Amino acid sequence: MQDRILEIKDLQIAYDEELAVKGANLFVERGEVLCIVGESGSGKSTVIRAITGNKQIKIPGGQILFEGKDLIPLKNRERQKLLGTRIGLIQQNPAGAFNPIRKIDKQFRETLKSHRLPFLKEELDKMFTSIGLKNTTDILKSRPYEMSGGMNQRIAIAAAMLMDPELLLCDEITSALDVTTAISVTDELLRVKNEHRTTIILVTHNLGIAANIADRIAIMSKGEVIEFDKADRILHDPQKEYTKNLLRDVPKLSS
Amino acid sequence: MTYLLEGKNLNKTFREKAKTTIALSEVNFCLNKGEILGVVGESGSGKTTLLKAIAGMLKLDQGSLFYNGTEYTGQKPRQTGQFLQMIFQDANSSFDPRMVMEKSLIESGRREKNPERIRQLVQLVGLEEELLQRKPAALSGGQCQRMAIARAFYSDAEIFLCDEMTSALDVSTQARILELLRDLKKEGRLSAVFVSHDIALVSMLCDRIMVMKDGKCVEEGEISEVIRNPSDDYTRALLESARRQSIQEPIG
Repeated sequence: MQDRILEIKDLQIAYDEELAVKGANLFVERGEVLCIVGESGSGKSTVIRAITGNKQIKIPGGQILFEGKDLIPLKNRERQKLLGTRIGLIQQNPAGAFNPIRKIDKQFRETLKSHRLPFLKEELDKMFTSIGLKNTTDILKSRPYEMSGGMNQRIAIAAAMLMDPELLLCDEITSALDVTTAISVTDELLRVKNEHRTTIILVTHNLGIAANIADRIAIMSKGEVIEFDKADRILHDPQKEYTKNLLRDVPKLSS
Repeated sequence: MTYLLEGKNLNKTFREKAKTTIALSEVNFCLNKGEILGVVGESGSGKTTLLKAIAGMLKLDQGSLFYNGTEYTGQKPRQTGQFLQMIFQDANSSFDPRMVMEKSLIESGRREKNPERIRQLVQLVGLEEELLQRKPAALSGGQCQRMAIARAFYSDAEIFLCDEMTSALDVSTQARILELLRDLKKEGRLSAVFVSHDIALVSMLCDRIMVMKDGKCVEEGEISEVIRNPSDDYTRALLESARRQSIQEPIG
């Protein structure tokens, strides 16, 4: 049976007067990884902004159904309740998510407290292990500025997982990382999916990353979803010329 | 045999209060004319330090640098700029934001002003002449990077030092820049040291490769040989990541 945790129907999104997304249709089933792939300016990140209710955008038409309920007409308060608890967001720059000089420990406690949840070390250990992070104690004692971009990004995933959200939105989270680090971050996302059955939407310009983790892929270009299907089909039998080009442009080892 | 560019026993350590970081440790390299040498490694492996040292942007603790067999160790960028040019990851911020491109390019040249040559070079890198009248903010990341390549050519430098020059671009734009560099290489116009964290990208462009880790060169050789038969564990790990991030089956 299909269980579409999130479904987007005929969604239009505008900055000022200009439409950045012109009638997008896509969905993701519970427990799947959906990758939204496209070049800069394709509207892929704008879709994420619409889900989180960014105030800079207008939505002239369409629906964003989360578990069957449209998010667009929600009042701020109701939306805030969903965000962070049932829907998590991680962005390209993890430094923006943390206070650079405050210990991770303190920052995690604050997050939990603001949601009226207790700080339980054992629970945290369990969660860290489940997503492949070792040395919980060391990580909690460290400060974001002391750590590499890749490590911060993995901690940002852990921070999002504190609330055990059903849906995790990831906006270009591997783009600023080198290849090896990007792989360890996508491995961590796969563990989040497998261990926590979290549904993940990952926005990326790199179809190579998508090939590594996606169950379903949406290709966006110029504000439209031009191809949307199971990952296998898109990767091995692309229908659109644009998708074929994206596939061709992923760097390949050649000797 | 004389190399176009050569570095011998390069060492550099950064000292900061109690912390010392060995950025380069006994690194040797050479570059032939018309060749592209790829340098790969993770962040912190010393790749950028190596380029800065070659360009004279930082002082080496030890080691010697040669251009066409003549030692130039200790020269400042003002002098090294006559035979080499850096191309950075963030092309946009390497241009004066208040100047239109044409003026930026003209001012970068050491010799007489030659607007006609600038127009030719801009065409060579696949841009339209009209873009010369724009300021950097009005260009896309890919366009800016092409302008940076044109600027490097205008300076008549023989060697390009490319520091993660496509890392901030999306894959499609990166592929176009790569095509451009390969064409320039085929025409014999390009000798370069190409630094990147992406071994797959390096394999598509370079003739030889140097793998760096913690300031050391852990492996060096012909690119095809290193890919077929890597001798170092770290190189194997890099290759494994690259394979996982590329699309496995060829698309028809």
